[in-house]
Amino acid sequence: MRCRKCGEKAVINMRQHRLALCKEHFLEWLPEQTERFIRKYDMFSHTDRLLVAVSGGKDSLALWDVLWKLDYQADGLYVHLGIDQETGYSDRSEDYARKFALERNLKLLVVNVQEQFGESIPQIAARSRRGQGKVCSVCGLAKRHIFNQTAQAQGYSALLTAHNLDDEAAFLLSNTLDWSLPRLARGFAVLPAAPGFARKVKPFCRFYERETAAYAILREIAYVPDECPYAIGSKQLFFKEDLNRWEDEMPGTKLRFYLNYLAALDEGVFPERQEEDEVLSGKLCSRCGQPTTAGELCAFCRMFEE
Amino acid sequence: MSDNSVTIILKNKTYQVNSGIPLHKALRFLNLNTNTHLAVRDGMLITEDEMLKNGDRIELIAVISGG
Ligand code: SF4
Ligand SMILES: [Zn+2]
Ligand SMILES: [Zn+2]
Repeated sequence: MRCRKCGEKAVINMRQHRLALCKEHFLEWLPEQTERFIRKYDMFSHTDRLLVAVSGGKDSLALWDVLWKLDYQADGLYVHLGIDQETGYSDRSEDYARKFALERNLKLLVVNVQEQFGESIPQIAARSRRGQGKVCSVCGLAKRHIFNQTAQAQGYSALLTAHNLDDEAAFLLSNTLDWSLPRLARGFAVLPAAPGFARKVKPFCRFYERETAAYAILREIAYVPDECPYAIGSKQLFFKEDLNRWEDEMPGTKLRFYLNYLAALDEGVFPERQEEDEVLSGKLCSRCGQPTTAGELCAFCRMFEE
Repeated sequence: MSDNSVTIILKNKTYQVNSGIPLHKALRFLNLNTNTHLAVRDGMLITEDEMLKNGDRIELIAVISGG
C-alpha cells in the first residue's frame, strides 16, 4: 500500500478515512488533525496554561508530545496510585513520565497518593465501602479529584486527558446497554468549567487507539508497555474488542458511533452536560473545598472517614 | 526453508505461519484483529496488505488498553 501524499510505502492504513500514509506524512497528519480538532471544538488556545493528565502510557505521552510539537504550554500531572507494589507498576509508569518530561524539558507535577493521603489506592479500596472488589471505582474517583483539585489550585485553564475514540465508544456502548442517560452525557470533547470544576478537554477523542499507538511507536516514545493489573478482564476491554470486531467487518463503525453521538449531544438529546451532580448542589466539602452533593464531605474525603 | 517460515511474535508468544500470504490473512488465521494490533517488520510498521516473505519476523503490538 502506498502513501496517498507521496507514493512511498505506507506504514498505516486508516480504513475509516480511506487514507494510507507513510511514516513522514502520518507524523505530520496526526498533529495537524489534533490542531484541527482543537479549533473545531474550541478547546483552548496558545495563551492558555494547560495541564495534561499523564499516566506513562502511550496515549497520554503521545498527547503531551503532540501539544509540545504544536507549541502549546502544557505541563503534565502524574498521579502515583501505589499500584502493584511487587512489580512496581506505578513506580515504573512514573519513570516513563519523568524521562519523557526530562528529554523535552517539560514540567511534570507528581502527586503521590500514599504520601499525600497515607494510603495507596489498593489499600483504600481494601478497607472502604466503595472499594469492595472495585479498585477501579476508588481509583477513578481519586484521579478525578486530584486532577480537578490540582488544575484549579494551580490556576490551569484546562485539564486535558488523552481519551481516544475507542475509549469513548466503549464507554458509550457500555452505558447505552444500561440506558444510563446521565453517564451518557459524559462522552463530551469539551466540558466547560463550572463552579468548583476545571474545564476538561479531550483533544484525542477522534483518533482510533491504533493511531495514537502508531504515533507513539513511530515517534519512538518510550511508554509503560504493560497494563495496570486491575485493567485485565475489564468491561471496557471487552467492549473495545467487540467494537473492533464490528469495525473489521464495517470500517468506520466506531467513528460514526462517536461522531453521531457528538451531534446528538449538541442537539441536547442527553441531559445537562455536567460532570457530576455536585455542580448543581452548590455545596462545598468542609475538608478539601471541592463541590459535593450532600453532607459535609465530598465522596473522595468520605473514603477516609469510614 | 520450510513453508512455515514466518515468525509472528505477540508479547511472549510465538506463532509460525506460511509465507506468501498478506499480513491480514495471517492475523485472521491466528484469530487476531488488524484493528487492535500493529505489526512491525525490520523496525518499521507495515500495513495489513504486506506480503509475508520467507524468514520474516513480525512483531505484533496490541494497541487496545482498558481501565
Ligand atoms: S485499571 Fe483501574 S486501578 Fe488501574 S489505573 Fe485504571 S482505574 Fe486505576
Ligand atoms: Zn508520504
Ligand atoms: Zn473533599
